[in-house]
Amino acid sequence: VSALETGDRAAFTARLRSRLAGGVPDNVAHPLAPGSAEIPVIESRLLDPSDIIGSFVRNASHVRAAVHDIAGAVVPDDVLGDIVARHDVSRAVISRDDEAVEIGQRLTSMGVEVATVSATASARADLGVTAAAAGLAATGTLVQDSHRSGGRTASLLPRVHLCVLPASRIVPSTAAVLRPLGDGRELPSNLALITGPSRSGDIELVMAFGVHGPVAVEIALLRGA
Amino acid sequence: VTAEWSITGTTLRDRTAKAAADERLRESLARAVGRFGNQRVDALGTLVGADGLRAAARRMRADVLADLPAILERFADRFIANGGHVHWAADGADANAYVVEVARRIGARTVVKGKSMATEETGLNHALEAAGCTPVETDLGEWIIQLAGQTPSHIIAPAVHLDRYQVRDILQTQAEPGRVLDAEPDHLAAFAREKLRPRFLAADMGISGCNVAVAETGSIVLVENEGNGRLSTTVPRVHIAIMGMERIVERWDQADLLLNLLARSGTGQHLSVYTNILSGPRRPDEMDGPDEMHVVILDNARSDVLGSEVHEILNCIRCGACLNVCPVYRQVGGHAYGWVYSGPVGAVLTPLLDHGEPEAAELPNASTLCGACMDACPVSIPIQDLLLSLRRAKASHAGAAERSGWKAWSSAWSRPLTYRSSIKAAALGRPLTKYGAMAPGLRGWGHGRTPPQPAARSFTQRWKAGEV
Repeated sequence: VSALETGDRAAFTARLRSRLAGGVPDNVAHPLAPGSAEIPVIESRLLDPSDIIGSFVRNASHVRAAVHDIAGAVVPDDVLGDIVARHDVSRAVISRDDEAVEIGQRLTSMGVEVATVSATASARADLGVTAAAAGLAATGTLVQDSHRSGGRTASLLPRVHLCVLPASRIVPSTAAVLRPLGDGRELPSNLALITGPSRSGDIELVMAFGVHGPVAVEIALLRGA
Repeated sequence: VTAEWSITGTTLRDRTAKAAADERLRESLARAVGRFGNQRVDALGTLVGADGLRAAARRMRADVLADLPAILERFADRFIANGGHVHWAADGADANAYVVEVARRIGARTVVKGKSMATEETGLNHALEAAGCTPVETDLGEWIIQLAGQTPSHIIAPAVHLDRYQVRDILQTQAEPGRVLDAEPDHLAAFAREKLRPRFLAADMGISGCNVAVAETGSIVLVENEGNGRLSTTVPRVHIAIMGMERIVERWDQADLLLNLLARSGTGQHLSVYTNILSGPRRPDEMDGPDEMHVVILDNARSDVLGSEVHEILNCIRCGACLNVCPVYRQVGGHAYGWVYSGPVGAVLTPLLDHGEPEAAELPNASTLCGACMDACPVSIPIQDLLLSLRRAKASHAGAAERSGWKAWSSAWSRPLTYRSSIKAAALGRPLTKYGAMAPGLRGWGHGRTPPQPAARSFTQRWKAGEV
C-alpha cells in the first residue's frame, strides 16, 4: 500500500487561496439575502409529532416496505414462517445484531440454512436479517450501522431484507441521526439510510424494484421492545 | 479536460434542429421531465417553508466555498485518520492516472462503477480500457448508454432519451443466443440484475462519485436508488471515490440540509432509497467492506471559477431540477448540449470546464433567460444571471465589424433626430427587409428566424396625426 496522501496538497490549496484572496463577488441582480449562518430546523408535514411510530409505519409503507406492526418484544414464528414461505427462502445470512442472531436460531429450526454475515455468505443467501440502529419516522427510513451489525452486505445482497426495528429506536427525522455525527465518537465505515426496496426509474420512469439491492424490505416493528 | 465531445464538428444549431425534429426523443422527454417536475413540487410541498430552506442552502454554500481550502484540508486530515487515502488531482488526466496506477498495483481486471458525472467529465472509462481493465457501468441507465456507446442525456436519468423498445434492443445484445427479451421495464431491470451481479462479485475495484463530503468526520455521502452504489463501494476490495472539489460541506447539519433538498428536487422522493455514508475502509471487526478506500479530490478548472463572477455555479448539487423545468432542455434533451453536463447548469458549466472546445462558448445562448431554473434550484443559483454574464464575456471578444455595427446603432438610436430618420429609412426600405436576413454576415443569424417587418408608418407619425 502506497502513502496515504498523494498529489500536491500545497499547490492545490494555494491555487484556491489565491482565487479567494480578493473576496467573492456578490450577484448584482439577485444578491444574497442577509441571514444567519445557522442551519434551520427542517419540518416535514409527513411527520405527526404526537405519533412518530404511526408516522414511521405510514411513510415506510408508502415507499413499498412491508411493515409488520408487532405488539410484543420478539418476531412471532408465524410472521417469520410467512416471510420464508412467501419469498421461497432456503438460505439466510444474519448480522451480528442480537435480534438477528435470535431470529437466525429460529430460522435454523425451520429448516433454513443460516450463515453469519460476510460478502460470500450474503451473495448466496435469499434472505438477509439485520436490526436497525434507528428508524426515521418522517421518511420511513432504516439506519444500518456496519460496526453494530458486523458488516453491510446482509442488507444489500440477498433478494429479501428482514430488518428488526424496536419502536424505541424510532426518531423523528434525518436531523436526529445526522447532525450529532460530528460530536467526536468513532464512526463505522458505513452508515446506510435505507428507504424502501431497491428501485430504478431509468426506463421510461416506470418503477422497477430490486434492480441491484433487495427486491423486498420486510420491517418487523417491535412495539414491546 | 479529457472527455471528448460526442459532437466535434457539429454546431449547436445543427444539434438542436436535429433533436427537435426527433419525435420519439421528444415523446420520451415529455414523459420524463413533466413527471420529475410535478414530483419535485409535491415533495418540496411537504416541507414547512421550503423556499426559506433553499435560501438557507444558498447562504450555506456561499459560506462553505468562501472557506473551501481549509475545509478540504480538514476533510483530508480526517479521512486519512480514518484509514483512507487522499489524492489531490489538478485535472482529469491526473485523476485518471491515479486510478489507473492503483488498478495496476492491485492487478485489477474488472472495475465496477456507480453513477458518477465527475468520471464522465474526466473520461475515466477510456483511461481504464487503455490500461487493460474492463470498466462496467452498473447504474441501469448508465449501463444502457455504455452498451449503446452513448453519453448521459440527463444528470440523474442518463437514458431518459430512450423508450423501452430502444432499451430492449440495446440489452438484447447481452442476452444468450435464442433468448428474447421483452420490453417490460420490470423484466429489463431483472435482466440487468442477473447480468451485473456476477460482475460485482468478480470485480477487483469499485469506482463511485460523491454527492457530498463532510469535513468534520472525513466522510463521503452517496445518494442512489438502485443499490449499485452500495455494491460498488462494498464488494470489491478497493473503492475509489472521485469527488469534484466543491462537493463538500464542513458540518453534518449542513449535509442534512442538502440531503433533505437533493432527492426532493431531483426525483421528488423524500429521501433516495440509499443514502450511503462512507468514512474509510472496513474496520478490523467488520466482516465485509473494502480493504482500501481512496478519495480523489478533483480541481479540473473548477478553481478558475472560484471567486469569479459566475462562482455560484460551484454551489450546484447536481439534482437535475433545472433541466426538467427548462423550456430549451424540454424540447431538445441533453445530447444537443454536446458534452457531459446538459440543461441550464450544463450551459454554464461546460464553457467553464472545457477550454478545448470553441463550440462550448455557444451554449449560454441555449437559454431563454426565463429564470425557471433559478426558481427550481434547491440552492437558488441565479443561473440566468450567470448565463448573461458568460454571454457578456463572449460579446467582449466580438469582431471589429460587429462591434462598430452595434456602436453605430446605439449612437443613432440615442438621438431623436437620427432615430426618426432611421425609422423613416426602414419604412421606405420595407420591401427589402425580407432579404435583410439573407445579407452576408447576417445569414447565420437569420436562419430559422422571421425577419421583423417595419411598419409602413411609424408610431410617432401616427401619434402626430392623431391616429393613436
